[in-house]
Amino acid sequence: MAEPLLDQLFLERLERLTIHWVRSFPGLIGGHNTSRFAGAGLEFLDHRHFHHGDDLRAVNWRAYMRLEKLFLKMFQVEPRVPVRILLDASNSMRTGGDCDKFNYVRRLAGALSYVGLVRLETIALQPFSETLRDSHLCSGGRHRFAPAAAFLTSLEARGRTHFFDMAREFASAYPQRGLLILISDFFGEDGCEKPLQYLSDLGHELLLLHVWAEEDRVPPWSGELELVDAETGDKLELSFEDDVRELYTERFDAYARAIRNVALRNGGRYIGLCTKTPVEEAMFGPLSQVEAVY
Amino acid sequence: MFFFNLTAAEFFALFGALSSVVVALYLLDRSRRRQVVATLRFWRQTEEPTQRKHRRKIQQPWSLILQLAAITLLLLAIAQLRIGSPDRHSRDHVLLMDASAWMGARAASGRTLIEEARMAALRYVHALPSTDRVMLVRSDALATPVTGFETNRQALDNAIRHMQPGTAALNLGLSLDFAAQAVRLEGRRAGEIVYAGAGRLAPETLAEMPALPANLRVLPVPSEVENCGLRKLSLRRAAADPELWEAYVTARNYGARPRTLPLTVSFGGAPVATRRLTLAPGTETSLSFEFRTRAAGWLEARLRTSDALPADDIVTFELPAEQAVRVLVYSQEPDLLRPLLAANPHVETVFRRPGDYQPDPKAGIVILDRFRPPQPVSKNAIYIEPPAAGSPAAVRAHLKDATLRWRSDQFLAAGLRTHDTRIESTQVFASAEGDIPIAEVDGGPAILARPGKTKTAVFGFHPLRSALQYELATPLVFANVLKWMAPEIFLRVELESGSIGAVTVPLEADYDPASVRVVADEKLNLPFTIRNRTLRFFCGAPGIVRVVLGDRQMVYSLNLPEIAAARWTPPKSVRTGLAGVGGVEDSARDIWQWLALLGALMLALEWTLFARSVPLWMGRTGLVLRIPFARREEQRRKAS
Repeated sequence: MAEPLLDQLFLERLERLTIHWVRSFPGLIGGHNTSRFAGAGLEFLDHRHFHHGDDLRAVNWRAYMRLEKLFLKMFQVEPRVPVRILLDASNSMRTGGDCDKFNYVRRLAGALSYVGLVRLETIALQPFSETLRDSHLCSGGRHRFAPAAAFLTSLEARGRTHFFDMAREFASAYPQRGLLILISDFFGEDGCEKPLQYLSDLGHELLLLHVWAEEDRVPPWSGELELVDAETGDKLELSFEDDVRELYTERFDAYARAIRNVALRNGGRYIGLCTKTPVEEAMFGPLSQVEAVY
Repeated sequence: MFFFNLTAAEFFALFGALSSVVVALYLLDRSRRRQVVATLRFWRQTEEPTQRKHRRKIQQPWSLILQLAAITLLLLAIAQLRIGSPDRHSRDHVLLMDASAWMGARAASGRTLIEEARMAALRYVHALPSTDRVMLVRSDALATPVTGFETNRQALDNAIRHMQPGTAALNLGLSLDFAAQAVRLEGRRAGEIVYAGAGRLAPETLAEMPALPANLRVLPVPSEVENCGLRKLSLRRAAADPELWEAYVTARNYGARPRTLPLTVSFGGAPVATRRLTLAPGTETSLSFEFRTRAAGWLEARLRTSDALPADDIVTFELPAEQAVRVLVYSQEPDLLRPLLAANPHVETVFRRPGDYQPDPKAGIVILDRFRPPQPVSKNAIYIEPPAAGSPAAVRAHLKDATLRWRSDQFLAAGLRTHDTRIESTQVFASAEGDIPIAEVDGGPAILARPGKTKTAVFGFHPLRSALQYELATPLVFANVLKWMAPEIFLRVELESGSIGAVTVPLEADYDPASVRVVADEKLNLPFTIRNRTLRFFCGAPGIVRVVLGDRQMVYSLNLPEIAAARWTPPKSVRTGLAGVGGVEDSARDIWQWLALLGALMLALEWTLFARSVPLWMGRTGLVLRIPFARREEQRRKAS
């Protein structure tokens, strides 16, 4: 019998968490995140002058009796914002040696899905490589997690990563703005800064979960190496030494900082996760610290 | 220049193996390992052009060269490379340890001479350079190598400490020849021939001493030892009286002072003779004595003295019992045969009347004088003029006045001579196959011998009633027949003690070469030589050796140690003692210490210039051998 994606004990701990986003999105009432937009809500927000066509049910009749002016009561909306989890399923996710990045990403996506399902969010699990692959939409409570977990388990990592193509397809496939949780190693031929900026410009709130293996950041090898790109199959021969390793790590960190800047610049959030960090620790550690979930 | 520890083939084999391993590891570390990575983005930013890397790889041979040079130097150090010729380095010596009987004598110091020789030999061996090879040879009458040419001092020490004196005299000439031959055939570079001993030689070997080798060294041990010893003891029965033993004793004074010693001879524990011997220095004295006995027993001759070598103060013999043959005569006229048979001391004669005949008498030989036994005789028998019906040989005819001729070609008629003896009357027998005619007349044999399980002789006439009664041939023919029937009775036994080694036996003029045998204990035939009527044989171990010469047997009891009488003094040109032993030429010089130091320095230099931390893949496998890599310079980082 296959090992479950997430064990029961972990799922029970996840039930007290909620996915949070920063931006205010229009959407159906019934969510848990308050919006700065006024609407049909329960919590009073403000008054404004009555305009023609406004709903008479929201007129503050007491104020009219005293001031003989029509004021309209505005209420705070708590919309149900779509949460999309973009899941990198390219070949590069299969590297990492003992700590498989793809497995780590699947478990992380599963945990976030469960948190969202518990709070009755609508979660779209969208794997991608060159383009978007078949997605899975889940909503309706925790008892809908099993299909989501099965979907994640059945995923296979293959193909290259094309962030531009993926962003274009995503924009057309998901016109409604929402929270976009992008879980990836962000290794691609064409770079990811511009596609991320594009997605942000479309109004999505970016929550970037940068997942890397230890060998991605600090390669353990030395000597004469023939390196093969996991996605493109390109080869590179070089002599790798200790001092160059430091240089490599510096380059990697600079790239991670660039991704982080894209997120922060657009009001999003960035979390870097090494696969050595357990998913449980990641959920209650780095993700809680940036208030992605709490 | 040569290797001391390894051969050239071993060195090159080791070098090839080690250098192959080093080069293989070097190339293995240089070989590219294929690794799948998530992206090449950051690698491309850090790598340099491939061609440049290849050039750098080619430009790093100094690391490999330094390693190979260090391995070469360390291997040369292990092989113990030496400058010089191996032929001029180690020498091969032959150490002749005197193990003659004389070395068992006790010197004035209280130690035996062999102990003194052992100490001198050990001092010599320890004074030699460790690379010199020594062959230890045991020298006595023979030269026996105990070890080959050996550098193992422990083995040599053990062999020297286990050297024991033997019982033979020293033949130094033989040992020197052997040593020279051993060095010539097996030695690489001739060293010294060293003799450690007292220099006591047999006079004959001293006379035959070859020219001394120029490389002879003598390790003398004290030989001024006061000793007197028995040299020989001979015993034989008196010819006229078999019960009388005649003994001859010879003793020698090997010392430098005159000695007077008592000699006691005892038989079966009872003294039979006591004499007092006065021995001048370096001389021998002989004396004789007689004693009478028919019994067998142990005879012991002992010099009553306490000197340096007790082994030659006593000699023992086992005397055989006197044996005689019992002859039973059935005759009506016993007086005819009585004087004939009484002349032989080895014969006990019993006369009986024919009426007292018994078919199985207690006698060795039965004589039937003109008598036909009612039953056949079961013993050796002599028939004299038997009745025709009772003759063992068929009577062919009766002749009168016949001329008797002796068959001198038969051994039973040996020594029989008569002039035209005419026999008044005789029977002529028909001889069968295997019969031995002793005397013939014109019709056939008149005296016939028939061999078989029981031997039979038939006389066709009575010798003492014929013309032969006054002839010498009559007792002789009876003696020949009796000797043929009971040869052991007529065997002449001589007992003689002697020393182990070469024994010389003088032979009589009429000895039969075909009958000569030399038999040691356990019926072992010893080889011997006969030259100029002298028989020589060699016996290397104590024991009894019988020399059989027909009817004569000589029993040698070789129990006395062979003490050499002559003393050899080395010429003054011969080196003696240990002077100059350690100062042998040693032109080959060890340089392995410098090679090892240089190799270590090269390894340290290589480590300093090219070493880096152990690669991870090596760390995982536990491999600690470091493969040099060029260090990436700081400029490279700046350039990148």
